[in-house]
Amino acid sequence: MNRISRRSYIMYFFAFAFFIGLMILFFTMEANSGKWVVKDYNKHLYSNGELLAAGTITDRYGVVLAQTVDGERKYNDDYKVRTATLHVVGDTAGFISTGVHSSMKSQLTGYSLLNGVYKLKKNGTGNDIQLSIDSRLCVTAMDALGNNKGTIGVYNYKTGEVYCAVSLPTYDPYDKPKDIMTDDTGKYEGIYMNRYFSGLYTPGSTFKIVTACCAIDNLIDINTRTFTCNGAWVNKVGNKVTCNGVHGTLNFEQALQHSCNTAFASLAAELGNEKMQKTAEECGFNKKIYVDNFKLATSYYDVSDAYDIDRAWSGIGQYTTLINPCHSTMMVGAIANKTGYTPVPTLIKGKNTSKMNFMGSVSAKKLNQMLRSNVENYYGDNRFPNLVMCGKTGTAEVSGKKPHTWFVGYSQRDDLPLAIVVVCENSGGFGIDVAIPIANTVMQKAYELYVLAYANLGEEG
Amino acid sequence: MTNSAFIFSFGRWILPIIAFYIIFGCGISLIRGNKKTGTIGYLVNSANGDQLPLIGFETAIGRSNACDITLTYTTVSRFHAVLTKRHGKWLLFDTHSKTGTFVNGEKVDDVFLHPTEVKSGDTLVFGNAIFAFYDLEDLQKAEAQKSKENPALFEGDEKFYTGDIILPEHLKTGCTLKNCITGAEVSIDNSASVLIGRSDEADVQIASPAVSRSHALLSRSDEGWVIEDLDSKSGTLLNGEELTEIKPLKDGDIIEICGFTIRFTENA
Amino acid sequence: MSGTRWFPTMLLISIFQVITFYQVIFSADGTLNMAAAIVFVIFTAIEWLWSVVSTIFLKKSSLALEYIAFFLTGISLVVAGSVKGSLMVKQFIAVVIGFVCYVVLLYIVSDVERAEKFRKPFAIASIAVLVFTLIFAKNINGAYNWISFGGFAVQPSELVKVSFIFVGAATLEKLQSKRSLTQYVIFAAACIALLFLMRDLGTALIFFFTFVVLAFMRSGDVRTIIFLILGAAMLAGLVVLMRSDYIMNRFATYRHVWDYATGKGYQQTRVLTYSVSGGLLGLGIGNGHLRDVFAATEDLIFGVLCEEWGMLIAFLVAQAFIFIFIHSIRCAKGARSAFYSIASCAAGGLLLFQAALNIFGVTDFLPMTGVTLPFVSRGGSSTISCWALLAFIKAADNRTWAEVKKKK
Repeated sequence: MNRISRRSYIMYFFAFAFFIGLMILFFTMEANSGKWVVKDYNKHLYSNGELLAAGTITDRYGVVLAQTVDGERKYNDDYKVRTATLHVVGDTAGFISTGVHSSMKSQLTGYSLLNGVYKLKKNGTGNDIQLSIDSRLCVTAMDALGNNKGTIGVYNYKTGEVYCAVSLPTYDPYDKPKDIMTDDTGKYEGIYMNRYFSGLYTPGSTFKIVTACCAIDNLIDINTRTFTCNGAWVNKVGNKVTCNGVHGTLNFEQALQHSCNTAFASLAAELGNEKMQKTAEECGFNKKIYVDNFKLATSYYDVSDAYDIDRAWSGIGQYTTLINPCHSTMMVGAIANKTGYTPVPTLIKGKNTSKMNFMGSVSAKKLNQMLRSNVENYYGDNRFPNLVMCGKTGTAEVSGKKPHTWFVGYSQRDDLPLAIVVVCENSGGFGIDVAIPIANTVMQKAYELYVLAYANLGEEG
Repeated sequence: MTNSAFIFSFGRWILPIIAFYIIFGCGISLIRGNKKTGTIGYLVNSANGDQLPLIGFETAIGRSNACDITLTYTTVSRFHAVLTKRHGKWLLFDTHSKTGTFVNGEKVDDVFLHPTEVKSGDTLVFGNAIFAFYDLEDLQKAEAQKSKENPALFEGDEKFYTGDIILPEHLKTGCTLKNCITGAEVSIDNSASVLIGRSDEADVQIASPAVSRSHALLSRSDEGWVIEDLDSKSGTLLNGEELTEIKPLKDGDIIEICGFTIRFTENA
Repeated sequence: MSGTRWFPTMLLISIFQVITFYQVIFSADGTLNMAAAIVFVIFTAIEWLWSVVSTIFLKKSSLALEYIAFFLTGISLVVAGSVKGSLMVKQFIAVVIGFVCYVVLLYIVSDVERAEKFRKPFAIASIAVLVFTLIFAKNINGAYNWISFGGFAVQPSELVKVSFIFVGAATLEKLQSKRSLTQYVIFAAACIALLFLMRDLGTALIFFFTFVVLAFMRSGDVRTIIFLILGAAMLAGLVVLMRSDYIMNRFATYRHVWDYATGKGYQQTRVLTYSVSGGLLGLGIGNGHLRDVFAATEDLIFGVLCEEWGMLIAFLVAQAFIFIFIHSIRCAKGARSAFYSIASCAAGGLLLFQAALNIFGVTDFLPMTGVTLPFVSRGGSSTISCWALLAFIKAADNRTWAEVKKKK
């Protein structure tokens, strides 16, 4: 009998296993609660797949972008504000995945593990979210892009707040085009994508910033070097990288100003796969970057097995290289801060985000000076009145279509610490002609809003 | 706000707290519950006086070490018998043993599992192992009366009062041991075993320091008397040969223990 | 202190039940649910009567096991009532029958000799009932395990659980004199095979687990048990090969429910989403949406508890099964007979295993097998069998018999 009783000791194992199972279950539920609760079949939150009750979304000045009125989700009354902020605010059915309606669903619905959706059901609404974007700047940016597809992003390189993230094409959530799914002309291509966060483009000449950074890091004599441009860079077996002109003899700074392909192709070829790859990855290529709850499209650079001609193309932002517009603003933000560090972007007003490193402070200072010199001595400050702009244009060749035009830059004014990126898809022309005027329009609006209207940006913060 | 909603708005806080108290209050009591039974009786080996406690209400007796009381006698089956207390009565089952189980000389049914009731002081025999059985409650009762009523029931400080050992027929034999040198004779009747050693409890006491306390055991098996050496220090010789295992004994066999020469004769 | 203090515990249970029944009796639209009110009064009366009679008149010291069962039963009644008043009445009738079975079974096993006499008839009856079910059962939800007697549908496999343990447990002298497990192995194999044929996979698994516990308790030989499990696994593999369509359907979505959220993973995904929607404190009885999903108050009850009663209460309910199981082990160690030891461990193990299959099944930690959560799920047969199983654990507790003995 006692021997039989003793056998029951082994049964404690099952009790223990069950207990551990319950613990794991509880913590799995806890960890995934935010994800599971916002499934579109959850009738506490959705009716016919549309988000019912959620908090109010406002811009940084309290302009309502979306709210729930009588159990129905309403957007801003103004057509332009609705369309310009659509990709940031998101739709209620979850098509726009980086939209706040999707990415911050659990905050919006006021879900908490303690109360579940109780507060939402009791009050009929969830938590309010104040975004960092400025709806007026967004409207200006949308207008400035005009009929171009593309994106404009404006980001404060001191705080990380995103002031503007406009993506075209867009649509009016109150009047969604009926043919949005059936159209095959391409006019709605990527309409559900916020190109600022999720787009990937060939960087073109804007990538020369990275090549320059690699050169500064690795070539001691870079500042005293001269480059001779005869209209193309040719390797030993006769493969060519053509230049946009015949620049003659240039120093390093002038090479960047003229965006001389010959100079940067030769630099990339000289630096080698390993160093180019290393610098690009330090600058955020192939790296996962999270903004609030979603991941940026990951910029791509890979020359690990490339021949020198491919590397030369990659050095001027062609080859297989792709960059995300938001990432490019972070990169110039790191230069603007002159430390190589820049805060991770956020869409929430006043949210503190961690700082991310892109390069050493020596490179950052040098690049800052070169980018300033670009505007000062080449593009001309008259293109950016009052702004003390720095930046780099780009024209990215795309096979079979007109090139994308780029401008990525920032204002050096202490009271206007904003970085901007402008991408006009398949616009043709050169960055200097297409993208710079658009960037200037947006930056002038920002200057008007934040500098002229207030003493400085810090006070209105 | 309706009544239901009102009840709920405070209930949602209070319910988990009450539930916690109920589940853990009851749960802890459940985990603590049911103390072990402990010892409720004794079997006393009549051969060497070993007291084997009966722990719990069912006790398995046999040679197998899966039993609660393991008896390493050759005459005991691997699973010999079960002694159990049910509704205040002690019952002895013979679980189809080969050599049988006896209560006060009566054989316990070994075919249909009919138990025999046993009482405190009864003699239980498994094979040729002889035990006196005592129920703890009876022992305590007797002890309470010990001093006033019947002190004669007890021998010295021994807590077990001595009842008569009643043996089954096949064990009612004995033997005579004769010291070949001095001619002294010890005759033992009605016993299934004889212990030789230095200790006071030995049936045949040899007061020599070379002799172990429990030196050798003579016991009665189905085939007759056998002898085994109880791992003594100086060993035992049977007819001049060292004893390493259990050996049968015949009339006239000579047992030598540390120079003492003993002749064995079976009683008729 | 050997038992719970009965009065405060009973008071807490009653307060809990007043608050929860209130939400069903006085529904939100202001109508009075008479049936629920009557059930509440009778149920409370039974609880208090049992406590008072046991504690004051029979001087029993430990009622914790009944209290936990009362608590869980109260939850099942409220959940049934929150669906429909008539369901609560049905559930309550099952509880009363279950409670009577509990008392009767407790009486039967109070004498192990008497209990031993019941073993053979129980074994024959079990097989007969299962065979009968297999032949005459209706197909409900893909399983052939229901029989209806003029309006009442019963699930015989639930009731056979009780006799499965009854047959498996044995006194020490029976174990010693007939140590071979063969007879019991044949009986168990027959039961499990019949359940397989009924396509009642969940119950078959429960029976197998219970069989392993019983076999181990009887023989104590780990090698034999491993051998038995391996044999069973091979047999199961063979069955799976032969009837792959039916088995594989069950396992196809396992660990991938989110990929099949509108199909085979429908129930599990709803359980997970609505469980976390309820949060730790719950949304209030009747305010959930999981209750609209098929079998919500039976198989998915854990999700309903999480959503409407809160995850805290749901996990406390799960914790209760651990306490019951540990208690069954503790009782087994000090029981008066091997019969009680074995039966107690097996009954406790069965309840725990069933709870595990249910809770981890609906949350996709284990494949979903469609078994009920003991005591809490709505369902007559299952409620009755749970109460009856409790008798085995109670019988192993020496305190149950302590007073009876002194009277003699």
